Amino acid sequence: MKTTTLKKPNYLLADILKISLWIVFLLIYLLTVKPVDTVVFLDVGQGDATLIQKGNIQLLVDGGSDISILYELQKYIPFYDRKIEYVLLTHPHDDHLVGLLYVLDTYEVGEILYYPVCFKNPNYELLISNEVKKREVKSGTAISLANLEINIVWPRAGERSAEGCLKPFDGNINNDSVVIDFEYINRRFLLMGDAEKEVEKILISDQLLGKRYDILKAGHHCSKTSSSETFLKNILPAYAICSVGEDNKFGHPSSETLNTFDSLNVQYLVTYEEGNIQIK
Amino acid sequence: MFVRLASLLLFFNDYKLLPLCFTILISTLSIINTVESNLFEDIPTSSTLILSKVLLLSVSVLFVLVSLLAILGVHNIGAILLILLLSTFSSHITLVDLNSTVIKKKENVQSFIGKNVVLEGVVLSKESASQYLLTVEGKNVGEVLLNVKGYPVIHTGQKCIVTGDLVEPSSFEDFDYKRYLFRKGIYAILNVQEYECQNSGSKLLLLRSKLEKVIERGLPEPESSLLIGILFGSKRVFTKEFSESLRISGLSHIIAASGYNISLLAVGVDKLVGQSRGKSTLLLKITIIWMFTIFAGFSSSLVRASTMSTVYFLILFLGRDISKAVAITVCVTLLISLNPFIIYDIGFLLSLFSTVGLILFPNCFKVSSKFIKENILPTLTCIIFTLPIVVYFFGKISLVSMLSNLLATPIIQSTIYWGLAITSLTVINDIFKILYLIPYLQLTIFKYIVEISSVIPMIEVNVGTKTFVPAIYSLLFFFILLKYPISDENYYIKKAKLLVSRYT
Repeated sequence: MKTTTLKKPNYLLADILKISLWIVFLLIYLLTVKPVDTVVFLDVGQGDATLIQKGNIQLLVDGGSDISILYELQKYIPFYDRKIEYVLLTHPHDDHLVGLLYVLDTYEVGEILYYPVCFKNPNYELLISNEVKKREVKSGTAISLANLEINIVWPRAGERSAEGCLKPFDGNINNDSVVIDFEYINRRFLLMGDAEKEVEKILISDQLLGKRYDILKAGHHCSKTSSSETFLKNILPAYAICSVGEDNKFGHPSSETLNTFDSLNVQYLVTYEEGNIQIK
Repeated sequence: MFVRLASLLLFFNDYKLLPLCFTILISTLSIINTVESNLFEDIPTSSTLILSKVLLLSVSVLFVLVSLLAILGVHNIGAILLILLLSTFSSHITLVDLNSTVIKKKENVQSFIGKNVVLEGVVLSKESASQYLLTVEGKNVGEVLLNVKGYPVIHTGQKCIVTGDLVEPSSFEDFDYKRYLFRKGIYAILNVQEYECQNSGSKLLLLRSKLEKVIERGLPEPESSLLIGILFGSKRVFTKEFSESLRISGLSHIIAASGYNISLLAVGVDKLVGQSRGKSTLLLKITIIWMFTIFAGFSSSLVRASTMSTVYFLILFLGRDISKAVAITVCVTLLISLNPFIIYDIGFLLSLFSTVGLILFPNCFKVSSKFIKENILPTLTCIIFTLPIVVYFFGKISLVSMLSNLLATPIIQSTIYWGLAITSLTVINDIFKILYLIPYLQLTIFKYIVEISSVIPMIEVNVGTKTFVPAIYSLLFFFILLKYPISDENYYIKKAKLLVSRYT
């Protein structure tokens, strides 16, 4: 019952054809796919992640809470670019941090930027014990990605503790979030991290912010602890972004905050409804 | 019909190996449920009880065979007695051994339950984002599932010293998790508090981890995980949405390295060797298949598939003209004798039944169209032959699986070759990483097929009784018996005709 299949010689030709076909696809891809200058608020479930890309240079602000960051990044970074130049951790909560560990495992990362606040979290320790180059940032630091200036407006450096880390601002780690603003693609951006109303108050009273922003990544996933009415009136954003996962246990975004947005005519976009929100 | 049945019996009578295998299978599998539930409840099954049951079953199976042969006028008592002896011996040894090892391990585990323990062992596999499987050294407690908090810095193959609380697994409302783990040989879960790992465990698994890292760094997710699955069959973590889509689209089998990969490798060898095919090609195939399996870290599905094809190639090598169906019977008997609990592994059942189907079913149809013969018929066969199992265990079937498989398989057919070649090149020099773009494109298309086809939801199938499983397989058996192309000149057919004609 042994069956022997004899192959026709032109099978080899077919194989070579198939291989060349895929190589042609490869070349077409390489010739056509170019990185786009963009800012994307990534839909990574409950958590925060924002990609700022200028040419081949990327700054990733936070990484969400799980592996989904890797699924989303590849939609904007070309296949052949396996290096993310800068990674910025706003503050050491897992919903901002854990995704970055996945990024570090699979991408080459140029530099990790973070505000060295004292906080106990094994994942945080894992991140800062990583061998990648690290830079501490604080209010006043500027990062430049090929002509794109990114300003760190918050936090002000706290007192240095015996362990070498900086003491928290008021005990709420959210208020030690790195807040950044920058002007890019003809728009002014303000990324609040998880900073809450207390920080907003200081940012306004000490005039650390600009007069008007086009796009605000609203603090703390649009919970009611952030985005106070006075704050919004001062910076007058055209759009507010809520980086939120569907049906999260915290009840984000809060209807209170959304009502404030509505009353001030701020159009808000929620990541779990819109998916990735790309500005280009 | 009777002629064919009779010729099958005569064939059985000549190939003594076959009745032996079937007797072992039937006697082992009929008792395994009793032994399993006794073990699960911590009741030892006595060796004499096992022996008497095995003997009884073997005798009845062989009695049926003997009487059927006697009707045909064929007598072969000596050989049958030998088969009886061998099968009883083999099944008895298997079950008694299983019984005693499991009891020992469970007793050992019991003495540690609820305590804070330090375990040392090699990490076998990653089971989920935060769970690993550890083979514990020196304590004879089987494998322990590690629950790690935080982002785990553990690679498969590493040797780890872990500290934590050892607990018994508990079942969920709708899923007997404890029993599921028990059947896999896992009797305890360790909630890890501290761990320290070193690259000194299993060299093979570490090599695999290293290669996985190369792929992870060369390709974005989920494409890299898909490629790793296709190449090595290691369990990978996907997002919840994507795993769900994979399941609904009926394509998750593609990323579990198994018989399909092995057959692709064998075909690859044929392509490389070209026309000059002799016995040495068979040896080359066996070597390559095992090199690949070793490389892939001996994942159980691959070992199964490799054993199966090795048995087949070896028999061909020895010059015996046999069918694949015989080879698979021998192999299944071997695997079940080594570990009877394999029968509870749904993956094993699915791949076994689709392989049996692929060997027998497509030949029953005469089709001239190449597309139908090479694509539609095999896909359809796999779906038909696995359907009863899928319905039995999951109660849900994928409506799109036929279409999605037809679309996806040609796209990723060459992915395994590209993946192997490029990964080897990248190990030599990082510059070759760019070539990953080819498997990346293929896998991206695959990903879209998964995502698009998962839009069509699965349908629930509620079959009241469980008898439909044997019923469908019996139907398929008789269909194949009737339709399988056998020439009228076949020795057994001729002989059977002669024997049957005496009654009519």
